[in-house]
Amino acid sequence: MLEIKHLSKQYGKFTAVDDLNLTVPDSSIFGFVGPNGAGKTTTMKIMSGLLKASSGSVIIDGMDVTKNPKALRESIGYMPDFFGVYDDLKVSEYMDFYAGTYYIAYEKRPAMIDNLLEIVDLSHKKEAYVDSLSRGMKQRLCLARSLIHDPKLLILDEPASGLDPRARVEMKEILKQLQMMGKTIIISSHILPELAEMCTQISIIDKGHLVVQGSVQEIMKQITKVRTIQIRPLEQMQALIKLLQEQPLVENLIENTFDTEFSFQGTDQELAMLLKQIVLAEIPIASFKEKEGNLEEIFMQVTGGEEK
Amino acid sequence: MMMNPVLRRETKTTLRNWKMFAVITVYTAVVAIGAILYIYGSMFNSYDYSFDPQSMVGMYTVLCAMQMALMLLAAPALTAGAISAERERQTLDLLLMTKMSSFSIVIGKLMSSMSMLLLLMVATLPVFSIAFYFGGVSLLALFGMMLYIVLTACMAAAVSIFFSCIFKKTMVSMVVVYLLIGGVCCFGTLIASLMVNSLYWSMYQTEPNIVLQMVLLSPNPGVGFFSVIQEQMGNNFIDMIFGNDFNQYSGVTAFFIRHYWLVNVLFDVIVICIFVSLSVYFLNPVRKKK
Repeated sequence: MLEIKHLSKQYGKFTAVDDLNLTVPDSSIFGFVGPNGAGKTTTMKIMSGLLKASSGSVIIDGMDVTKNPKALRESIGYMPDFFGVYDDLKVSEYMDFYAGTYYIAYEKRPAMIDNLLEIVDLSHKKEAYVDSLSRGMKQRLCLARSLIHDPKLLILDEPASGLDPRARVEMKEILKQLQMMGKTIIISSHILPELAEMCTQISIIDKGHLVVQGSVQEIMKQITKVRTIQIRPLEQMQALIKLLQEQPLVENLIENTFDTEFSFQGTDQELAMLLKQIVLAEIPIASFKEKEGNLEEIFMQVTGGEEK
Repeated sequence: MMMNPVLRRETKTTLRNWKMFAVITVYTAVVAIGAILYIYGSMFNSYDYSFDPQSMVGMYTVLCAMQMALMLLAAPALTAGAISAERERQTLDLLLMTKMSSFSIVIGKLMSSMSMLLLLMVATLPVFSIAFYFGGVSLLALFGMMLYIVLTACMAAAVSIFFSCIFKKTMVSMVVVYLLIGGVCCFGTLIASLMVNSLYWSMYQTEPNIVLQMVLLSPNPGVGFFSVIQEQMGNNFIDMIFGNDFNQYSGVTAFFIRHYWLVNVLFDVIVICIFVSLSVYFLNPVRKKK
């Protein structure tokens, strides 16, 4: 769907994006994470054809955005991080205006607007003035606006910023629904955990450089090379501790009140063998799991602790 | 055919707002007060304190001059924020991302401002009707004058949109446009013409080349306005500006002296084309150097 090759953007002597390479597969939710000033908005503006790249290319559906931005406007729906609305319009008029900017026929608009307002759960506000909407509602309205021409690719720059927890959950649900409708979504945030649960792929950028890219699990594996395993036996805690102490791949063993944690440096096969040994030793196990790393810590680690 | 979306939205929201009706009321009131003052003035100055219908021709000139001045004031006020207000409101990026070309956006903004100015002019027609009710002014003359004023206002609007594209703040673009239209086009060209005239008299004891003066005064909407009045009313405003011996000229030069407003019209059309093109260029986000 989208491929970024050697993308760079310079503002005078300052390099906002430096030799960025990315690939976004079809129908995925792609998280674009980085601290403030990492180059996310600049990259997204270049993707949307709102900013000229200093070098490199952004290819969407086989066409280069940097060479022909106008041709790709129909394929892209863009929602900026900061946006305004025409306060003196009603919600339906606001949508109608943007339908007009895509030259959608007058007769097609009412049904299309109703449908989009339903997706973003704003049908009940159709005749309300945009001015009277809450921040979350305005965000959803802007999302509906970006869908007015039925684009294949949605570029959403921090769509959840400034929203309360309930509005964030609603926004996530809408995005999942859009993914199911076949849309490819690129979403940025400076908070990794916010994107982790809904994104199929994530890339972390910092100071204009791509730091890491992949699924959340892959990124965690890349960053936290040693896995933390947590075992909760029903009984025989001391026998379990003794068995684990004898294992060469086990390190940093910690005994808690009800469970035990340790670092494991082996492969998945070696981990399976360890579990088999415990079971053969007839130690009753209630829980055996790989402990998830703290996403905030990972983010701080890869971005050099510059999250703001 | 689909109406320009920007024009459609702006027309809808402007006409919905009470401020526009307040502006129309004030504008019409100013022109009406001008007409009343003129009628009272002419009665007061008359020999037997009576109303002379012939003075209506003079009233027409005064009303047209007021209309012209008010339009030149209103055009930048309505258009200097055309693009910069979108930028200030953070809606410009959303607009530029749509299928509308920069040209359509600029034309939509220009048409929107012009439609408001036309509305103001139409609102004052009842006041103008006093002048041609008593005769001396034909409807065609009034229509011709209105066209000239609209074109001049369109020139001011095109310049305003350009400055609105390049300046981030509406106030800055408005000040620059007023300085350019009022300071340079209206007064600057007159001062330049007078300076050239006096220089020629002091150096060569003769009037400067008429073509040079015509070119110098081509941006001046006032000179064009009086040229239209001269053609309609038969007075000699332009003769006074270009000197008394212009009859020595013939051919194309003589034609343009007699119909000097054509030079202004040509200037306005060229300025509109140039500034609309520049606005389109500067509005294109991927062409702009940031």
